[in-house]
Amino acid sequence: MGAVHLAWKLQRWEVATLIGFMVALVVALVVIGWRMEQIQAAAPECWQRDTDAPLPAAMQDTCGASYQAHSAMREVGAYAAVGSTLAPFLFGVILGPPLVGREIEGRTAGIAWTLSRSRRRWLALRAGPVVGLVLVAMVLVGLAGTTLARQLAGGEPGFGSLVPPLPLLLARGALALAIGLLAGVVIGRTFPAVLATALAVGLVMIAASIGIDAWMAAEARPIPQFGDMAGGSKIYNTGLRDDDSGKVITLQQYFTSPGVDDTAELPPPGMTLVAWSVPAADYPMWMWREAALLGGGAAVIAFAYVGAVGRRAL
Amino acid sequence: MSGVLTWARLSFRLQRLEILLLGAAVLVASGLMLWWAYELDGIAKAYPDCDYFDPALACQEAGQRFSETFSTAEIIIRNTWVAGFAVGLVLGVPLVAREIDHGTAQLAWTIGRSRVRWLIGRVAFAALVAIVLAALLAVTTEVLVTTMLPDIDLSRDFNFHGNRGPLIVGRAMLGLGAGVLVGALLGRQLPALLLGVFVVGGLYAASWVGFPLWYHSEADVASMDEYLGGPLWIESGIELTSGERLTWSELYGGGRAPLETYQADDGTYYATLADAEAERNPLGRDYILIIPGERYNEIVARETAVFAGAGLLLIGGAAAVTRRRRPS
Repeated sequence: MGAVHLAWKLQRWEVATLIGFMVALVVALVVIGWRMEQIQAAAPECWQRDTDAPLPAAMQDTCGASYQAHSAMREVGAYAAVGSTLAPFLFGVILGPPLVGREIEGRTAGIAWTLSRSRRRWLALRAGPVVGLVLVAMVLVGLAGTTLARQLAGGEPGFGSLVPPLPLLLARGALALAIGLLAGVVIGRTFPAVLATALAVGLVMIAASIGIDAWMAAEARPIPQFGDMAGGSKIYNTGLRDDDSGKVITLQQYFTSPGVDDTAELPPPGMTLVAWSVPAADYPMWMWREAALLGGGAAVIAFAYVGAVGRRAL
Repeated sequence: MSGVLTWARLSFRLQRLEILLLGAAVLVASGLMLWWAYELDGIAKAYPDCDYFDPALACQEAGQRFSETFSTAEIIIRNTWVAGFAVGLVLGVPLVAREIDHGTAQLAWTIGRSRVRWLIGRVAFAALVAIVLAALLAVTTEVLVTTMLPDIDLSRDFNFHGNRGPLIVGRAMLGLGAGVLVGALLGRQLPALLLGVFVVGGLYAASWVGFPLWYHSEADVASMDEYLGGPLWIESGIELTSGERLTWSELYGGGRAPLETYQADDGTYYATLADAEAERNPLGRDYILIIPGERYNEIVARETAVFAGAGLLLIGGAAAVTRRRRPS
């Protein structure tokens, strides 16, 4: 309790602002997702049609109003989704750097570390409540966003999902926090450390995104288009598969082959259009891979952080 | 001269780390943009007869290289709207807040001739740095977009409007003003940075709604059938046979027409397929409100002035707060 009280006293402004943001975000995610479900439940006949035929005249007013209301909520929901994407970074970037950075900047680190039995013990007491807060906040945001994620994706969320799932929120929050903690110790000044953390988190996320994308591209396989491929898949290239031999070529290879009529309709007889893709069904596996990668990175940085605090000159 | 140098050196020392980090970020982003511009320009010069967005057979390899580089460059260019705000905010927040946070405001304000004079000295240097960094981004974004759209005269086209050019500098001034004011009000750096992000987000959202409303009365009426160049889109909808104009959401959401309407070859809309085939009871024709591409420079100058002016007003507000504020 003492550690939590101390953490609150030292970071109450940031913590209060972030808790306010989190509460607003959680309420928005829950209310918008719930409202979208309600709109669909109120006119199920408009949302369970399995035909592309025009709406019967009798249904046009009801369905028109239902689609309009759902679309309006969808627009607002997209903003809430952006909020949930930013939340883990915001928590990590704002809460991480001041933990040690402020003590060094305010020249109170010497006293704090001398009074404690060891720097590691001091660190555990100070960092524990902050880590706990970030984890609890991410769990709440993740759970609150599940309905909205399904509504925005029009089914089970796939690669294009706008709302990050819980494991990714936790991993990103942990990574941003770890980078922030390390930046605070290394730079020793709070505000520049926050800025450095934001830049470093941005760079790390871009690098991770490029790396994972390349990994996925390497594991993408040719799947028939318009057939087995469900929405939410990640497509990397398109091509043609010979129905007899099973040989697959890219569309570019096909069009640059001699004697090909590039105005003829695709696919040519005896061939099937395929897309090199990672199917939406693989999304959970890739989500866990990304979470493990980022979480592992966070753990490595956290070890470096503990070491840096132990060696940091006053 | 030595007074100016002393002022610059002292101001730099007070914000050394922020300036160096921001400067490094801006240089990296500018370097990347110039590299992509060089790549795109190289492809365009190597294949002068190719159309890169609908590549003919002979141009497919060049087209693919161009399109891949274009897509990568687009990721950064689509996000440059936030860069100006960020530069201004990061430089503005600590100006007053850090002095109060560290308990040095009393000393700084006592030594100076007046608090406002002290603040002007601090803001002037931060504004100078913000303008230099934002101007660098403004130039490099223009260079990059010019190579991304080599066949378009970008001084008369709203493509990538808001993501390139002097508007970035105007936004930096708004970010600076918001940062200084929020920092002076809260007197704590990190909470002020957080609140500043929300304030700037709110101001940007207000501009996003406000500018189209402002342009509504001066927009030109056009039709989808004509060539429009690169206009700024303000609104689109249907002009009913009565002459009344309704946006598409007003038409369908307000129950003024069935959910599915039918458009004849001449562009006229009908409520039913039978009406369209018999050409009876037309609903009206589509219309769009646009600001023509020829007015691009004027609109950019106007928006830049609004952002910068709002930033100056906020700095004025910060001066008023600083004048009356307790130094702790």
